[in-house]
Amino acid sequence: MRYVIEESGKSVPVEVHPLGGDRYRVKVGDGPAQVVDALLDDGYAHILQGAASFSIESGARGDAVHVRGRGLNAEFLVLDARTARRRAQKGGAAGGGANIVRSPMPGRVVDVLVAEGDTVTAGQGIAIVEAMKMENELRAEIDGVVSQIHVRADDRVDGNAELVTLTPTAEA
Amino acid sequence: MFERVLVANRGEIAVRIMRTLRDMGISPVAVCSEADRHALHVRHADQVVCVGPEASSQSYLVVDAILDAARRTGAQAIHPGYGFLSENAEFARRVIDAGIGWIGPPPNAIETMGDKLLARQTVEAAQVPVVPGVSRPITDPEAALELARSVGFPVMLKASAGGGGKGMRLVHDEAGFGPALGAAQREAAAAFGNDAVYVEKFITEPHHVEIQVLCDEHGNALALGERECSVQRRHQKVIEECPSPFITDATRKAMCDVAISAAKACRYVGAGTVEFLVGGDQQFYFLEMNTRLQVEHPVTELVYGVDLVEQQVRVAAGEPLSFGNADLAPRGHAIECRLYAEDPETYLPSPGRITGVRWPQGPGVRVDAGVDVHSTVPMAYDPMIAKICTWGRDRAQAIRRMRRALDETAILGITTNLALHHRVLTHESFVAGRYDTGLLNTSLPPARGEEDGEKDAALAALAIARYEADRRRSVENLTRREPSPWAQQGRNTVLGH
Repeated sequence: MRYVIEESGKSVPVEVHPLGGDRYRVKVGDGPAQVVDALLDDGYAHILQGAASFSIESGARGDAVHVRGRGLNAEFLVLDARTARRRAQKGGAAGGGANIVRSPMPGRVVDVLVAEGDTVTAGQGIAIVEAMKMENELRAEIDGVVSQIHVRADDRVDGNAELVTLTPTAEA
Repeated sequence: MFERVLVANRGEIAVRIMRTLRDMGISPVAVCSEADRHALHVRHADQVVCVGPEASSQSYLVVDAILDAARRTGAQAIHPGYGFLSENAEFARRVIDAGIGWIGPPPNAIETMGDKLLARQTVEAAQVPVVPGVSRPITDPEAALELARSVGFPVMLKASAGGGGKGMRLVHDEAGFGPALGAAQREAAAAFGNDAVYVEKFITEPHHVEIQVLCDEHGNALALGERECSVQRRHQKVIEECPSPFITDATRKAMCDVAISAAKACRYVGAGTVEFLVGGDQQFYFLEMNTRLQVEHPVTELVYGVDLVEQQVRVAAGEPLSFGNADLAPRGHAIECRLYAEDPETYLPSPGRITGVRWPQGPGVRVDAGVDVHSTVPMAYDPMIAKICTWGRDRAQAIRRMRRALDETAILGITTNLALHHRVLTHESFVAGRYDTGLLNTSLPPARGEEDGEKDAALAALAIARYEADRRRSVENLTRREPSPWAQQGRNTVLGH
């Protein structure tokens, strides 16, 4: 069976063939097919591959899986081959969005530092959101003009909430 | 001795205090907000009282609700932990007036040291050296700027009622002064309900070193050495160690003596911490006294072999200290890494549900955690979720053990600053023991990468797990047919159709 695993935009095909019991033949990306012994349980995997031993914890994070080994600490999205093809045709998961300043976490808007029509430069502070008792300044990723402000001081916002929309300078 | 003690706190410190209470045969009582009803500290308690909604201003900070919880559960004493009501003299007074034991210093000592300006005046009178600065709170921005000019830039702005880096700003020049003052005042008002800030001279190449003191009500006062707390971000401590690799034996001795003077100047009782700034020239200046248990107290416990919480409880019960300065036998070296639910690059907080946890174990490792698997890190509280400590016979061994402990640690479902710790623990300056509070602003070594073959093994595990889940699902689909007529007949009979 063939799957596609995405990590921050990059996808790696992984093929799995059961060999009975806890043995599988696995081919990762362009690498050679390898036989592994896998102990799998909820949130845990122990992989034996030749003489190498890998102990791996995993937990859900949204649609992705957060994985931790000894050095590895990363998030992956596991897709079946058909879903992966559909996403590739749509142009990937990334929806652009550099023109929208978002709150990366739930919190409370302390202040909006710009007004509609303001010209801003990349790196400029756009809004201050307080979460976990600290004020965090959120900055523009691009040069542009403030086209829309979605929040006011004292609003409570969810993680990923849109705060301010910018029109990129090139289009303005 | 008390039989039942209420811990007026949450997170790792509430769990840590409850553990010592159990060691002493005392039954721990928890309080919690509605958001924390299944939090780890509640799981460790024998009894719990929910004291209000998620916002700490409506729960953990409500004096009447905490006192009522103590009465209802029959708790004979209250331990406030750190933060929340721990340095609130009015709360301490209300606890004492209600006839409940107060596991903390006398209200007057909290008041004196809690007002940073009064604290400066008090310790100055006891010949304790202080940072050059201005001894009055500031409200008017114009006057504030004048004061900053007279002290000379760079200056530090600090919340008069504050702590923990909240309401604190370093200002390099006049241009940055106005915005920094506004932000410091807003944070101070939000965190402490008091927007007064003060200005002091910023010492360059500063080290943040603090002395642990322990006093009883019979006039005995001990200094349990120092903690080096110079690894900071946004003026908040990230890694601490004991002993300091920087100060000399002579400086340590002088600081311990001065710390005892500071404690005696406010008639201190219990465990407290006297914080100093130490310049590159080993000159040290009193910063403040924290009239509570400190977050980083475990490194002192590991090196001195003293359970500070146990001592707090005994002192509060009226016992004299059972050991003196001459009995203290510091041994080896201890390091603490604070795990924060925040992105190590952007420092943005990362609240959410923890879907997997693996704590480090083995020789020389101590974990004080406030979360576990199935915990949620609410956005309403401090982002510190755990402390990992290692002890070694010397600093090098403590560092090696910490690197191993960090590798063993997994927190899944949220982002933590785990990667930052590894980068510091391999930083040339940190390893050499030559660093000041500017360490995290220098370029850090690259993050710990994955081991050879590790990512491929993880990808294999994910694909195999998905394959097995898909296979099970298809088997279920195949076996889930139309219900048999017999079963359908029986069902209709039972339902009376």
